[in-house]
Amino acid sequence: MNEKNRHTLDKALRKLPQHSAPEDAWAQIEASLSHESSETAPMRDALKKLPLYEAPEGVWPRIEWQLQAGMRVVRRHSLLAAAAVALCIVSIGALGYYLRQAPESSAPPLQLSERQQRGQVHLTEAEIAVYQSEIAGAGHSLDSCLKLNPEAGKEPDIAAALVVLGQVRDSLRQSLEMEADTAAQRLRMRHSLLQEALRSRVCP
Amino acid sequence: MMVKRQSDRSVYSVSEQDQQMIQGCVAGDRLAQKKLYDRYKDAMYTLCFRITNDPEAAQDALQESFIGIFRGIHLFRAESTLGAWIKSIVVRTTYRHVRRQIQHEPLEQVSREESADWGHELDAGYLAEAIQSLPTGYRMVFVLIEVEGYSHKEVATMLGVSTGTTKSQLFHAKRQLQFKLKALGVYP
Repeated sequence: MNEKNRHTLDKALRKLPQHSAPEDAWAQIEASLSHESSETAPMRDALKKLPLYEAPEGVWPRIEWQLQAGMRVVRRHSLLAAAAVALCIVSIGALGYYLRQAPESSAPPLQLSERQQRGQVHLTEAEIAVYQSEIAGAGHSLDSCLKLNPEAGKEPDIAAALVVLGQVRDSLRQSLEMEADTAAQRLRMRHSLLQEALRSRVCP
Repeated sequence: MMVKRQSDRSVYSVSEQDQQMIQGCVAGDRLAQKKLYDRYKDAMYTLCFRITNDPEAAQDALQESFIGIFRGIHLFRAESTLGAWIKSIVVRTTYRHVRRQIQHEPLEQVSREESADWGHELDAGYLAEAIQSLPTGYRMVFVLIEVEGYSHKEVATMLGVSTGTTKSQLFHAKRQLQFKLKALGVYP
């Protein structure tokens, strides 16, 4: 569209006829609003008074943890299980440190060939299923313990949670041997010698 | 002061303080993220709970929503208010949590929304109870349109359904609410 045509169009548009709103338009609108208002007012009032809720305290730590880890969204149970894994890692590390300090642990480290001979513990599918079930069950139990406990004055049942954590640690210590392609495997690589020593102490 | 414009569709002004908070969130500043979370957490949790009617699902939805908000806050263009932008993410995320529970009714022509007579006074406690007893789909549409003030078109876009569906769901939601309130003895 050239400049002249645009000017012509603009001029014509400005001259389009103007219309007045019908006199009774407002009366109709007002009547409609009044009618609607009288019917819906109780609902509107009640909706304004609907209860509000406070976000639970535990949500932010989970968000923060995920942001730090740069991980996908993990549900609450998964987070507790991950916390249990972290606890187990720390426990095993501490145990390893203790063994290194103990006089009995002064035995020469295993050679690579010996390590290969001992190799990875091969568990049956049934055993793996049992361990996984134990870990999942313990995660749920831990969750229950950490919920508000009405019988204990609305406090988390820490004692029960610690028992569960102990069970989780034991289960995970065994499951670490079977996880082939996870962070647990990397941990196993680091601590394999230590675990071999531990196993030989527990089951000579 | 406006948030840095990357699109000329930015129409909402953002205070300098909020701009700093948003930029902090974009940069991954944990304090800024916590500040934003604290500002909106209760309102958004209330919305999540009203939609899911389940405290645990609401927690999960809230958590997932804010992770999405922090990861996508660089996309905020001030085309709506920050609160509206956050709320739209919370609604979509919460919808994903309840989607499996929603069974869309076969489309039924609701030519004009029938106005309902709610009497002279309606008790908010009973109304809350009645709302929570609605099927998930009805409850979600009712909460979004009647409580949160979204239009049918907005809700239809967010949920990926037609406005005919949202109108139908709202119609049935109101009808069921009346039944529930009548059963509770508080409906005229």
